[in-house]
Amino acid sequence: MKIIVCAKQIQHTYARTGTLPESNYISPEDNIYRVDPHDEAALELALRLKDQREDATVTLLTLGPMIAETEIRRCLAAGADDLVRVVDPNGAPPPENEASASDPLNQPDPWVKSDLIARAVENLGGDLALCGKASLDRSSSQVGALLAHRLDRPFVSAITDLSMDETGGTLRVQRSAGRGVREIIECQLPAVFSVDLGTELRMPKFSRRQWARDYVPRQLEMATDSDIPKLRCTHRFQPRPRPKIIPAPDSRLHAYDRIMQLLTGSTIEKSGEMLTGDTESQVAGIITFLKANGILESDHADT
Amino acid sequence: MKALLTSFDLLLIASALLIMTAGLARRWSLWRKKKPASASGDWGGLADALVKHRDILKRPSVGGAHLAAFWGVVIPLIVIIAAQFGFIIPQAPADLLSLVQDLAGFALLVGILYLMFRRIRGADSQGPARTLVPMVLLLIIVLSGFLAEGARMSILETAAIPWQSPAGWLFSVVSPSSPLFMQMMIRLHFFAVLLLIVAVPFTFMRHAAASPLNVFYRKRGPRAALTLPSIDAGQIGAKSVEDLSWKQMLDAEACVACGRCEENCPASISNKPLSPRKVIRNIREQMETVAADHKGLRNQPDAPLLETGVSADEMWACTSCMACVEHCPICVEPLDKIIEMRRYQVMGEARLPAEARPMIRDLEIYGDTQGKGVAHRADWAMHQGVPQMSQAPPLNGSDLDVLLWVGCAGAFHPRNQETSRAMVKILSAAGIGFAILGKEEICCGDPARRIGDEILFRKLARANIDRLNHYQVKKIVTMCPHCLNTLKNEYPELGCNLEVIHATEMVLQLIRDKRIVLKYPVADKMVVHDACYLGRYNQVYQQPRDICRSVPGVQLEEAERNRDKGFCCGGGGGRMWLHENIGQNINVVRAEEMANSGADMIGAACPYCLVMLDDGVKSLEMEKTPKVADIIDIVADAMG
Repeated sequence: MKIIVCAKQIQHTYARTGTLPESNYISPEDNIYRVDPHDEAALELALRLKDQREDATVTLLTLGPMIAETEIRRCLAAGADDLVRVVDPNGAPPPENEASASDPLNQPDPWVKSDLIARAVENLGGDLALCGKASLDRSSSQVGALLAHRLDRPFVSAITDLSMDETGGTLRVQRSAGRGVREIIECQLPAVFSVDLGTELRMPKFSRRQWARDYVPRQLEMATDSDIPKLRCTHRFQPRPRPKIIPAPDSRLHAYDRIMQLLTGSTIEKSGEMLTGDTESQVAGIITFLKANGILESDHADT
Repeated sequence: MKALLTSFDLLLIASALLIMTAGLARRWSLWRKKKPASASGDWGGLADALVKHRDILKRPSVGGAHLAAFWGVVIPLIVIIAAQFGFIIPQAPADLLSLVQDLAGFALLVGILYLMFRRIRGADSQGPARTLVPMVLLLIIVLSGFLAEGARMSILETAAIPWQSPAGWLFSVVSPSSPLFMQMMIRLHFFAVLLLIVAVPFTFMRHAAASPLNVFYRKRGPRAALTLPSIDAGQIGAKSVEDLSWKQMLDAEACVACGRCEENCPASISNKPLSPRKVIRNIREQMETVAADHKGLRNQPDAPLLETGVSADEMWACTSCMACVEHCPICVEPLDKIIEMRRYQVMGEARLPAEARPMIRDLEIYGDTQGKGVAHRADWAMHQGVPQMSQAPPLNGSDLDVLLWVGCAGAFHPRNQETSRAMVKILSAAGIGFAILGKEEICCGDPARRIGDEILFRKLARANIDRLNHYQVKKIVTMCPHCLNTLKNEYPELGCNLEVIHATEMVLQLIRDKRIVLKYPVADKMVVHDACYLGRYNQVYQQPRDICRSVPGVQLEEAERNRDKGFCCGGGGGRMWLHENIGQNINVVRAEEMANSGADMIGAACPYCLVMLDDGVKSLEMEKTPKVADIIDIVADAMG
């Protein structure tokens, strides 16, 4: 049985500590390059299935430039058998097509991506394709479903566990249906699943690390021009910067006070005096306050 | 004593020595073939350990008994060997020699009796049988020697007590005045000595050969630094005993299982399965198996795995506090074997307790233990006016007095961030030119290294060293003792030799130089918790205490276990990130001990200790629990 795990290399922006508005307040050290954690979870499920069944092989499939090479090699070292990279035969890296030229993340849309992956899965003869539920950068959650559509295979989203019965024909997956509800679903091969976080990941062994370090990824030439992009992201807005630092609540306080501190976002209490009484006394109060603070200088403001 | 040896006796002695040498050579073949010829020893340390029993005497009663037994064997041995050459000695020195001989024999008798008594009486599981054989032999030797002497004196029938041999005279009361009896005793004495020599490689007396050797080849240089394995050559920790270095094997061979390590080990004390003594014993047992394999005596294809002798629970219970190393009288180091085993588990087998995996992953991706990322690393210093090396224009190390190394805890943990700000306040008030690396600092690698992930440590250390070299940093002050140990003792092997001191050392110097003034009282009674990585690892015991004494109105108490006997908080060696499911919680044990000292404030000098003790104090069921504070915070508070 051949399992294909789609691994997306992403630039993950985890902080915004820059000072320049042009760069959306993102400085270079706010980014890390890694394999999407959902895809890592997908790899882990695939590896567990491989541990269970002797005949299973796990192939990592990645598109686009190798921006997180050490991380994808770490995935390879964790137990995958090979790594396949889809490249454009025309020389240009896959994301460079007409539609993505203006894409803010410089990525093809899910429609195009699913087409590339579907053809790669067919080319590699994958019985089971796993991908992450969503990615940290785009978070469209579409590729898995579109991939199943293209391959005309059954699809289960957000699975957290995967096993196979003895006959080898049916897969049992556990799916998180939200709000803590879980479902056990039986599914026929070939199939496509998208994987949610929640499995404990394994670490690579040293011997595999060395093997993965020197591994030369297989290239799969796949042109994107046959498929016309149907989706296009025109704008991508970063949230407005919130430079205010909310300090950790004082642990000596009661839970209620700590929650209030977090909600108000500050430990500094707003000071001041509330003026009460009728309109005239309130006006008098304001004038007294302004005089006391030296804002109003003259007694005869009206002259 | 007077009788010269016949040639047959000489033959016997030679064969006994031969058997001993052959036995030792056979037994030691495993480590001896690994030992490089260039390995140099330490004569001074050996002399200290043998002549003065420096470390053995840390336990006065049993140490004294050992000292007596040691000299009780060595002096008569030298005298008797010398006597065989038949020197003509004038009467007075010969009498003196006889007295010395007599007293040494008496010391041996008393020492052996005490040790035997202790061994039989003690409810010690380490097996009296193993130690009893040589002890009985020694007893026979000393008794037969005295009886022979006694018989000689009763034959001579001297009336007055001869001052040359008072003990011999005592025995002359009970020994018959027959020359035959004397001859029998001399023969018995002689054969018992031969038997003891032969028994050296096969019994407990092996330590007489192995332990001095171990002291001779003891690790010098910063003893707190772990060995740097050449990973690319496949040195990824110890799978079986054959992966250990020759010195580590010699360690196991030299151990006499005295149990001082166990009595000071926080894991053993808190009822966890780990005992440093048992670890060493398991290693020695496996070495014996492997040596037998090499001789073809057993038909086993692979050496037994270390993990079959030392379970995962034992391996991961170690807090790397180094109490076992500190208290070993013969320089055996159980700690580095545990780390070697962890290395193999983590790097070779990728077996790491699940709780610690997220921390390792955070270190890999974000470069800090909290997974917050370098972008947030200088958040604690925001709006504090803290100079950063990378600011415009960039600073240079030679323009600075010192670089402040904050560490992951000081940069991210809210409690330790306070301490970092306090340190900034102190340094600013004292007018010290300092800066932080800010976003360019990453974890020093200590958590990864103690957990066994040497690859990750190497990666983090490289990045840090590149930064430090780039800015030409000359001197570093660290907030965290773990960073101190790594930067000071472990980075030099990677090519980064800098002056590194801990914040307490620096602050005490500032106080002494009157550059900062402590005006306000903070607490009445204080007690200082000795951080392992500050105290035992780097011998900084006095500075935190002196700082506390300089705070107005502070009366300093001492905890029951302090200084080199200090008890770990339970957070070192990666234990900070592991669950504590077996036995008592180490931090609670320590917190209770500190609270019982009657202090109302516990001063800690390590972010791990601070967190662990604070947790421990909170779970005490006491009416009034002491507050836990970092010493740097206390100084900042006292400055007002």
